[in-house]
Amino acid sequence: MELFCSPVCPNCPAARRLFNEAAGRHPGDEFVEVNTYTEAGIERGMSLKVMAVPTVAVDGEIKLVGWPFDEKDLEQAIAQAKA
Amino acid sequence: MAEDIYDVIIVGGGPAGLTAALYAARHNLKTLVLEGVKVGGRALDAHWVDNYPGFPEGISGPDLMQRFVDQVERFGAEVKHETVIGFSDFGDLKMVSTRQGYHQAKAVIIATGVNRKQLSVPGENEFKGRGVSYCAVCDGPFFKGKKVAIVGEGREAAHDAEIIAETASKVYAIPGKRGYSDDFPELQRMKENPRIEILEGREIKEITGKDSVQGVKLDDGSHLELDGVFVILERVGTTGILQEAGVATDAGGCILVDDTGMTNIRGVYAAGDCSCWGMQIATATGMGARAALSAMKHVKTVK
Repeated sequence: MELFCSPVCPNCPAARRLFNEAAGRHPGDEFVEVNTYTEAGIERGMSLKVMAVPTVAVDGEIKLVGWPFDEKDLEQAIAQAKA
Repeated sequence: MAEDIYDVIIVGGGPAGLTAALYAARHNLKTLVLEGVKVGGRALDAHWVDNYPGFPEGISGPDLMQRFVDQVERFGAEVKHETVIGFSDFGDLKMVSTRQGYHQAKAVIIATGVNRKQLSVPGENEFKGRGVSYCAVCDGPFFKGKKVAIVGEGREAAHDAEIIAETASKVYAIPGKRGYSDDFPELQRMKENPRIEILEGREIKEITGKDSVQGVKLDDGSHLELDGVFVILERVGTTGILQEAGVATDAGGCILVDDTGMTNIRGVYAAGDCSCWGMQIATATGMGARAALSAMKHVKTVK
């Protein structure tokens, strides 16, 4: 599970909080924050066709784009990936 | 109807207005804040604020603004939920009309903020986050080597066009029918930048694409192939009312102030986003404090 976020994006801190809370609920899964303020982060984002922050991708597939999303949206994305 | 004469009326209850109120009330000026929508302003939309000093762990926008309100009320400023519908300058006295009546003061501080606008064309909502963006600094890096349009007539749009052009292959700057709202310093640099093309006098009629943005249709019938559209449109609240009252603004409605925060009308000040500078909570508070300090000096001159 990847969260693409940027330190200059006003909605990203809230997305990070939700993402980290989800990580706590799913200790067996890998949650990675991708900082799009770095070359590596941008390259990773562009490889998945990410065009906005915050974006959540699961197994390399974009699931949630932009803000707002909530805990339910995140859990749904995780459940779909595991199904 | 209230016949009290306030020392200072502050129009707008966002970070700039509340800071101005704090300074004024703390110096024992009879202070009134008028806010027609919601006290806290656009900062309420900030889910988390990491760049306001004094909160090392960050704080939510609503929590931060509640602290502003608590601090303002501690020093006795009045906050009324009234929408301003008119403003008149009578020299030493200023009159602010609201839907509920009117209020008079020796000084007025305008801190009405700005409202971010959508372009409102077909395709805009469909491609949000998939090529349509409202934050160039957030999403611009994803358009490295790509073609984009920056829509907006204000300085922020001009500034963003320059920033995006550092990495994008082509930037179409589309200010709209009336062109840019002022002769910004960025405009000359934009004209000299080979990656930027300014399309004045034209408007976007539709954003087109499949999975993501692929282009835009313009009102002259032409079509531009694009990968992204950045919508950077802002409007200053109550601009029409203020312009009618003689408060000088630029063509985009941004209120013009001098080094003391004063507008072209003696005793009338402006602070925060409505003067189109900074667009940050921290800059708004600084401008609010400056306007209040200047207003305090002015009030002493009014008998």
